[in-house]
Amino acid sequence: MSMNSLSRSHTSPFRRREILEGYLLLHPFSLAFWSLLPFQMGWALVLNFQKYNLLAPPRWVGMANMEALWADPKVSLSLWNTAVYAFTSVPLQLALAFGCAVLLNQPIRGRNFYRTALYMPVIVPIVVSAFIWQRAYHPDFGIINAIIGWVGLAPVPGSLSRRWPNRPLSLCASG
Amino acid sequence: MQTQYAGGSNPHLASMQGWAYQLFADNEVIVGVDALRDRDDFHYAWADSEAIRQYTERNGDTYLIPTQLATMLMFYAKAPFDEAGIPYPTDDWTFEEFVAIAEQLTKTDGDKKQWGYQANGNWFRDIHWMRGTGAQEFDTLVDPKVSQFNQPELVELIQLIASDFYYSMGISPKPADLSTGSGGIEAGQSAMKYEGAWWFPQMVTPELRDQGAAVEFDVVLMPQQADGNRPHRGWAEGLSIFANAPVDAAWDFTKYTCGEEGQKIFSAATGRIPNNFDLVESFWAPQVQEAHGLTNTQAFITAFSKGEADIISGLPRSQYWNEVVKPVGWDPLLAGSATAAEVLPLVDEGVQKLFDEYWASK
Repeated sequence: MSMNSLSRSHTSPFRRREILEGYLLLHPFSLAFWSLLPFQMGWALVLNFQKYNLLAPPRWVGMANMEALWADPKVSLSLWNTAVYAFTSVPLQLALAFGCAVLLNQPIRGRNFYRTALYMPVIVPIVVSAFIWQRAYHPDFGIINAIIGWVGLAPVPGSLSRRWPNRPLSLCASG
Repeated sequence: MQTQYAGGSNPHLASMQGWAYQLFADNEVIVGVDALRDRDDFHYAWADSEAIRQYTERNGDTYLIPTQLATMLMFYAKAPFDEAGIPYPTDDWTFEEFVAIAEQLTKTDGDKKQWGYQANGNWFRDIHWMRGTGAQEFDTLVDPKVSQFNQPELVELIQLIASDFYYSMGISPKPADLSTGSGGIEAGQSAMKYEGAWWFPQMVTPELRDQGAAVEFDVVLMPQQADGNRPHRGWAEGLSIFANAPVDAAWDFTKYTCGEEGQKIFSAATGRIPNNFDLVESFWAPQVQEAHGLTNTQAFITAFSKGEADIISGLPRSQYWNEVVKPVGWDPLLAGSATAAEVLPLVDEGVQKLFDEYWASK
């Protein structure tokens, strides 16, 4: 007798019922997931090899779309920016969050106030937050360039500048 | 709309801009109405204008039934001129006078910032300035095959309006200002702006006057540049009938909407310029003069008589902008991180590639 069949034979009726109920509860989602997703993924794969303007029947174009993708410098720039964003914002978020958690766990005076102050940005609507950061990065009137100016550095021309690809975004996300 | 059509759930009638329906016409998704309008002797909706013909006709038929005419002019807020003691601009002003006025009206060193001219920040609207030089960015305006942004006149002009106005001259609020809600003419922070009739309610309405928030204004023809003909952008927006619609019923509705009675309702509700010149003068002009306080409505008629198409092509205009002109050209210029001389050759390269692919597929 194998271990599997041994363990199966020791599964109680209650446990078996619980497992069955679990699968039943999963069923609606998994049914929708497995009936729709393969079609969508497959269709997306087919579209890779077609030119389709949604008005006329699609035309097969072989690898032309792939070739255009890899020849487009925006693709490598987008991948690079995504990598920079991921590798800066994630460690920054982790380090800042962990550091703050450790600090706010110390028996310091006004701890509740600091905890509330730290949590406040979470309940600020994302649109408001975006406007505040956008204003902060304003090339002429923003506080970031003002601080940079105080230490004698040249101002950053603007949040759209490619010289600063997504550092502001990374900092916003981390903040 | 394309997605709706592909999904089989498109409407019977679609509101289209004059540069947007060509893709649908080329794919025979919408119907030509020449036979219907001849059958019913319905010609009211098509003003006698080359721009209207270009924006409504395609492949030897007529696919757009205009619900409105459109052109754009210079709007100016009166208060900055009054405060500075500068006379209001008149229809015979020149580009040099415009720039000099914008410089005089710019004051950004105090607490209350004011700019002389709220620049456009996109190619579509900058087309006016570009054509005013006498040069054009394509070999032809209908179904072009050659991209030619990189001409000396256009390089100089685009550098000025899409970058220098913001940065070295500082007469226009930067995109960063506008994106945070400051610098706009409707907020009283810019003295001039290139706009159309749809902008009236942003400046003056009876309600804004009651609230003390109205910005009293008037309009004037765009300043004279090198081209003595002074072309202004002029186009039509209207209705197209889908081929899978009940065409006769859709046509009856369209005839009412684009006829005199429907046009009065449409224009009164939207403030847009109706499709017929007589109605523009007899109905629209007095209506907007009363509701919005401007006086120079004649400038709209003059501008439209000089109306010139932007670009008409089987490739959507938005495709040029989104795929090439914006990311390669205007974005770096607006960010102040590149010059027109650097980006316009690259814009030509990208747009030419789109043209070549499009024509190779025909």
